[in-house]
Amino acid sequence: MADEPEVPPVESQETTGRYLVVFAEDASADVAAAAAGISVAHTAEYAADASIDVESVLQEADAVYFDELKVAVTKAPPQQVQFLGARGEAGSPVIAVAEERIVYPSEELELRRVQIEEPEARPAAEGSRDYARGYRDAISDLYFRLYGAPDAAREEGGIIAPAAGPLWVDTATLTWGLAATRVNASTFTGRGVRVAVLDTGFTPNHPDFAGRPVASANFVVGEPPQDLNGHGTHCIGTALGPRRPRATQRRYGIAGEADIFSGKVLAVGGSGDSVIIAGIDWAVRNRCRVISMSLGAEVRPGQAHSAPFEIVAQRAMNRGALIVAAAGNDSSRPGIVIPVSHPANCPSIMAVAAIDAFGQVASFSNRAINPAGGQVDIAGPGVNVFSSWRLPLRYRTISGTSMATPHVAGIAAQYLQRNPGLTPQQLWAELQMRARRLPLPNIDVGAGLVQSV
Amino acid sequence: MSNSSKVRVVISVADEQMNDLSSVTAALNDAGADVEQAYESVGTIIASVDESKVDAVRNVNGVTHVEQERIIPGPPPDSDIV
Repeated sequence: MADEPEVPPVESQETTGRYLVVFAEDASADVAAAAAGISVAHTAEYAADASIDVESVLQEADAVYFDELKVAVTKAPPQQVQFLGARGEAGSPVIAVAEERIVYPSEELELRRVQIEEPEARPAAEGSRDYARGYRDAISDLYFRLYGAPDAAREEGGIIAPAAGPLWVDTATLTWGLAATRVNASTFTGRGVRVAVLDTGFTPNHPDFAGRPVASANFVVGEPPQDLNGHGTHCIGTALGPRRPRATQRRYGIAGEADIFSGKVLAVGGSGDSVIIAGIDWAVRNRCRVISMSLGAEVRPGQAHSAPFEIVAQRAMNRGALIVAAAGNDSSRPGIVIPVSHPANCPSIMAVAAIDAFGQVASFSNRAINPAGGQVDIAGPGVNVFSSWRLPLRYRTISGTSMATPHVAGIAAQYLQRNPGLTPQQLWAELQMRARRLPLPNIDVGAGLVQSV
Repeated sequence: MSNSSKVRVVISVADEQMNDLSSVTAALNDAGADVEQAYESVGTIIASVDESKVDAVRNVNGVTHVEQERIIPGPPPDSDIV
């Protein structure tokens, strides 16, 4: 019984009393319907350009089955619909059952709410005031349904509202960032996907990466190959760390089975574009699908993005690689807000902003101030992010759009494992499509908080 | 002798010439640039050139964009915001 879809009772006035039934891809709707004693009219039997009047078809048949969609609308009573979902040898043919709702055009909906408050005609003067009060109450009701009481911490219900406490916290077994991006609910590991992280290098003898193959390259002249800073190890940890780390209980990494390509491009004293481009070339030649760059140079208001770097990014995309880069940490909100850094400000590079565990924009996170490029595309967890660090420290909790960026990169690897055929442009669209919309300006967070799949 | 100030530039090569970077490289050298790297994957050349010769580099056949490279700072070592 546990696996059969529940049939909800018809309660509200806003439903038709009928049910929508979604069938599995390989299910035979006819077999299930016959077993339940439900007669079915198939849309496939109508001419392609015929308009089907569902109401009148349902005078004669118990259900209309939309063959192309594998969805039926049925007037059959709940017990019969329940039977439809009964398990056969091949499992239940039904994925979901829902009440058929009545849908209004938006303007009409608001009028209806007001009418609910004011059903009777009244003398003009009194009527106007009561009308206004009714309207106010309807809007207040709508407001509180959406945003809740002012001091309630609201996470459930899908809307993130200003709250008294954080929406997410580090637990003993999971970082807040992985909870906020729903990585913990995903089974995708990035297996088969090559991800390049261009940064300060990696710490190859870190216990959490023992036995994990890592391709490394050093483009910094005069420095040894390993990570002298820790920053690169931290970013690789977030994007690509193991599901079950060895030296801590707390999971901090996303695509634990992706192929790691660590390119050291950031010298202690900084690096020119030429070194970054060397790293990009290496990643592209090695068929990396995601290139994570937690690096950037401050940009002035009105300054254009780099045309040659934009061309590098476009051509990397043509070669199957999505470049994801940090929007930059130059701001000090609310007083000082700086444009998105170079090279994240290139249109063909996905620029990542940072949010904190309260669902707010990080104080340091840059904003889309410059036109023609320079936008923020998406946001990730970037404040107090726990991840791997160089030895002997092993772990560190730090902040930055540098931390938000590898969240996107690791999740992108999960998307690519799920759907290997995605082009970089399609991957970009999917990441934005599934991002969790935030009640924050898109010049600060782009499409919203990246979500795992 | 005048003081030459050399700058490193990032040079974009036209789509049609991406497969033949060597001829663009030769032309750049003729124009007075020291070509350091040529990346076929992204059709981009890195060169050092005297500031006075940047315009000549721009006019080389097959070159679409030339910009002085920007410097990306390393992560600040003593900060918790990186």
